[in-house]
Amino acid sequence: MAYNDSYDNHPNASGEERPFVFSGGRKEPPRYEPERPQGYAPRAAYPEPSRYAGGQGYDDPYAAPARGQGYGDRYGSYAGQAGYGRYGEQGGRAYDPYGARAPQDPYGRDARPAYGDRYADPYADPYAEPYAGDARDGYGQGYEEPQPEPAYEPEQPRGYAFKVRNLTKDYDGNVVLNNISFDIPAGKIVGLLGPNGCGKTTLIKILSGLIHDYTGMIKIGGKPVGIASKASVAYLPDRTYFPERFRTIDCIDYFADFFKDFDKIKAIEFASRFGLDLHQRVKTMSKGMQEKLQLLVVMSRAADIYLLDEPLGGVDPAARGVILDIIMSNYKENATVVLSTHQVNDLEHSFDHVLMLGHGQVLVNTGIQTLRSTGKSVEDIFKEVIGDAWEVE
Amino acid sequence: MLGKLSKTSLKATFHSVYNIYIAMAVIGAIMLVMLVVDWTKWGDTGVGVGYLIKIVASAALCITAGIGVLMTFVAVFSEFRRNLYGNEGYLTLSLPVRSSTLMLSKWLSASFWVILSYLALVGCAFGSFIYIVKHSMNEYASTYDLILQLVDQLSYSSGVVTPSINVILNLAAMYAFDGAVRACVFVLIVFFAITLSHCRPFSRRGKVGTLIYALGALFGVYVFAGIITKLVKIYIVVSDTHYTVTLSEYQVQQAWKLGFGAYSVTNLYCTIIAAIFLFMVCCVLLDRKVNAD
Repeated sequence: MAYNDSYDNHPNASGEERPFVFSGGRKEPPRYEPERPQGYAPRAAYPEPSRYAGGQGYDDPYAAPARGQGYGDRYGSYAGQAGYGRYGEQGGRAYDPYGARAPQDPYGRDARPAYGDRYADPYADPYAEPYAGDARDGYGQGYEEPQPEPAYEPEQPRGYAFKVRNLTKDYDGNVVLNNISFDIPAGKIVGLLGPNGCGKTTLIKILSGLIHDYTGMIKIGGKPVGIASKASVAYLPDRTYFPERFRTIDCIDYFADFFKDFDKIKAIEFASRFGLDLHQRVKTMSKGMQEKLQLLVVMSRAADIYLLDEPLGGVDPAARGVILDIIMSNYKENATVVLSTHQVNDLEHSFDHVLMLGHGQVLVNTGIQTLRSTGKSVEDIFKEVIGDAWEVE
Repeated sequence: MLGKLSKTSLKATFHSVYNIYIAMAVIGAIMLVMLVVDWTKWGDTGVGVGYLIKIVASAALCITAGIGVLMTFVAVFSEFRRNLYGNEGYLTLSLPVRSSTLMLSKWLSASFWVILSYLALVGCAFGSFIYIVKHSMNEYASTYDLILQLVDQLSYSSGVVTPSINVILNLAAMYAFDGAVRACVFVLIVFFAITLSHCRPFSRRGKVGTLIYALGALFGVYVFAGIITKLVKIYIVVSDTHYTVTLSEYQVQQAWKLGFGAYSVTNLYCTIIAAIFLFMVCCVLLDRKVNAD
């Protein structure tokens, strides 16, 4: 199989990968599409970069309200969402000379590095795309670029959410993970796929710090598995982990006590939205309610990494949509979301990156676009790869 | 974090044992009611139904308190296992806290409940005794005086001064402290055994393994303490007003002759040292070997 990307030469690092194409399940903010007058110059033509910072002093009546992430985000998100060009998500960073420096966000949001690979900026002006000459899908064609491209900053390799080297784990001699090494790029929605018993849950438990007797090296956000990594990882196991005596509000308080990034108000709102009584005890809840409860507390965290083990396992198709919606609309921006599942069909449109395990090995570790460029669906590739992996030799 | 974890553990154990304390309170209330009921109106002369009910209620209170001690041990151990190595372990072990903090919170909470159950047992036993003998207290007091006089005479004849009541109380406090510490150490030994039984390759034997490891650890701790006690003898001499640490057996003999008390603490110290070692081993196992199943 040629789907495996070397972790030293990941397509994300080289910038060759096509950006993610929005397809279902995610936030889709309203687009701001102003009427465009004649003679409008693209924003890249404006000569004074300092005036763009945070949008302060910029008097363009068609300007989108300035955001902390500045243009990089705007371009990046736009390209990232619609697949407009080779800049894609990397473009969001590469063309963000000003946004990250925005001193103050008039909308109360902190200035942050502009990755732009997640959401379309709701305030973005679609005509503001200055690099449309590279568009592949027809958007912006005929919209000539009057100015040369600004100096192109060399692409920085993206950070990695996980670095795993030579990881081996066995259960009484049964090797589940056999000397595997891989990296998962940060800020992606990662599908952790594989058949039952292939080590998905084991891998997630190792990354969460629940399993210790393994060999190999693991770095999570550059840190070894430990207190620091646990503080930045939101883990949803495949079972109920709240004590039965807990009420909904106790679960929320528990998370609020131990996780600094937990948003209690958001959790209470969630509970209300999902019809969970704050004073109902866990032991009186149905399995579905318990799963919702766990999901809502996990997704009320603003974690850097979400490890979700079979979030759709054992729930009916109607609930799947709700759960998927909760996940996709509530994780922190730029966070990495790892979704473990063997129900590929339900989730494949949500993935940015796919890690397939089987036979104790990493069978596939690549971006979704690379997989799609083969002309097959993820499910087809899954069947093909996993089928190969499970053939009796 | 320690406070929050301890609070959670205390609450968890409370949910397992509160019923027994409610039962004790109910029995205690019945006993109080029995005190104010005048059974003579129904022809009871003091050893009839009323007295029988008092005896039964007192016995029930003591038995309930005894069950409470057992239940507390079971509750703290099962809570420990469930909260760290059961399904709840998926939550507990993913918390951003040190393993030592986690273990200490469990131990503090368990120790609190164990000591409370002991105190409840002692309180119930003493209270029941007073309750039963209340009407014939004077007779018991005179018996007590008689015993003291007998001890005095024996002491005088053997050249030993009888310890004063303060010395006896101080010694009793020392022994109570010793008992409490040993109970807490026992809790830690079982925690260690449970932790060990969740590490490979020790996990294969299941709950039987836990029992074996607990007995082994208990044996090890007391053998270690016994050997050291043979080699080094440290005593605390207890007088009416103060405690004195000494290594001299001669001083101890003199203390007893002068009406003071003496108490060997080497064994207790060694037990505490062994417990600290086990605690550290538990933390290391929790950090490096234990898996949430």
